[in-house]
Amino acid sequence: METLATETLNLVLDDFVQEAQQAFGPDLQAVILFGSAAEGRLRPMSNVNLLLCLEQFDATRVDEFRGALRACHSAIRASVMFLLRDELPEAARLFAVKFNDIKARHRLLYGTDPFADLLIDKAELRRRTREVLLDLSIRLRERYALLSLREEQLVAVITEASSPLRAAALALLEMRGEAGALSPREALVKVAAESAKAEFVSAVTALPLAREDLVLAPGQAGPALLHLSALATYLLAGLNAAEPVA
Amino acid sequence: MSGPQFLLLFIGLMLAANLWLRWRIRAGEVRPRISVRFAQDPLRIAALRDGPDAAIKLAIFSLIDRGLLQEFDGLLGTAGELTGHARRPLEQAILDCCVTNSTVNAVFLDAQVNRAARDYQRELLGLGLLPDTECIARRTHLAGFAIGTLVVVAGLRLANAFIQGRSNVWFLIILTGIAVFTMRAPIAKRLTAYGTDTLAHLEKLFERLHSQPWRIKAGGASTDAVLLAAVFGLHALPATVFPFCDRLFPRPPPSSSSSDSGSSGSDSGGGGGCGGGGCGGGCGG
Repeated sequence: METLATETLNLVLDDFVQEAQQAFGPDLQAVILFGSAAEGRLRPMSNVNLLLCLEQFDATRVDEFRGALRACHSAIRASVMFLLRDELPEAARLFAVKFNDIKARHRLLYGTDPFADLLIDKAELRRRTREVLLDLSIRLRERYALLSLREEQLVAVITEASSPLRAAALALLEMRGEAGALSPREALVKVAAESAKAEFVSAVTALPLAREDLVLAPGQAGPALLHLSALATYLLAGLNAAEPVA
Repeated sequence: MSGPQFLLLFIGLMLAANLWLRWRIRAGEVRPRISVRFAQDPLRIAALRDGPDAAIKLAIFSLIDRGLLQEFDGLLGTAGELTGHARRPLEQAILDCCVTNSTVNAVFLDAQVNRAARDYQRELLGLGLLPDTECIARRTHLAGFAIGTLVVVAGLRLANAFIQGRSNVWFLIILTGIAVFTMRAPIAKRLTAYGTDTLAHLEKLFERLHSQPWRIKAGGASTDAVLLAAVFGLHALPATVFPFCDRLFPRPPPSSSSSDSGSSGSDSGGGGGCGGGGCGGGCGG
């Protein structure tokens, strides 16, 4: 299955920024690319995540932009978050996991970086990460029970689990003051290695394979899913134990 | 110079003249690449790719996909009050034509529909994507110069041959004929170099859509289906998702490719999670 070519991605992103500038004018504060595309690790199934930081959401300006937006969506599966500048602190508090992830891996395409001096509330990050992890554990158990008789169906579930697990691992290391410049992906690898549990390491190793090829060898997906569920529980316990570093 | 040597030289000259002609035509027709904004009207892309009829076909497809037009037993009929949602003149013209049930052929013959489709042709001419009379005159002028040069060279050689009493000149005459024929071809090209580049650029932009047709969903919520059909043709659409498409516009018999995949397999089922983690318009954990 084909991945989006970097050249095409850059062409569309250039047009996207230009169209956004033209449509929103001075209301456009920043255009940010985040997620796997920002890291240059776009997968065949990945969306290209973009954030438009605006002064205000003016319908007239949006109307001017929507034709180009729909074309970009079709070309690169652009998924765009329209965020008002004033909403950023609140959004970073309420969706601490998401914004912590964006802060860790994003690329500024236009304007001034609103994440440069954005502080993510550590207590809020811990609370939200625990919520995400508990939800993930419960969901993964249900998916395993329902789908594991058709093992090939589990690959999509595993793929979807990787993003919250990585974000949670990064949050855990940040609580401990050990995140440094690690990407969420590296953070998860580090946490799995530290656990000294071979099954966590192998499940984390299977993640990129599942994401890239959308296929795992027979007999691999079921155990990997259970191990990821256990890893989520492990991360949750780690977060419960960790005191936020000021 | 011996006969075979001259023929080799003449073939080299033919190739050089051909390259020169294509280069000069291209140089006069290229423009900076289009923005992705061009793709906001897929009907315009279809008209660029295959002419006004392709735009009409695509508009019919799009209207059916959106539920604004209904198809039963080969007849097209409108879907009541929903027709007001069609914004483009070509779409509106098709809906007007189908107020009383029409066949596809009747739609293609409708004057209002044809007028609206030809508007795309005019727009493409204005954008320099299709050759206008000035452009064709320039092509003709350049081709005339290249052909003329070759004919003069061949003519001089023929005259020389006849003076020397030789009559084995058929090969040179045939070569000159081939040269004239090949150098007339660029004059009649349907698109300008800019138009050809634009289509190639669009194919590149939407290659991902083409390589993942199983992601295309019916219903018209996104422009995926209509853009895929606009850039790569209606038959690039997964037949299992849009079965009406093959009914209305049958595939040409033994064509080269048929890439029907159409397994959607998106198992999003609710299940036992706690929801959490999301904030509507795009903050999902």
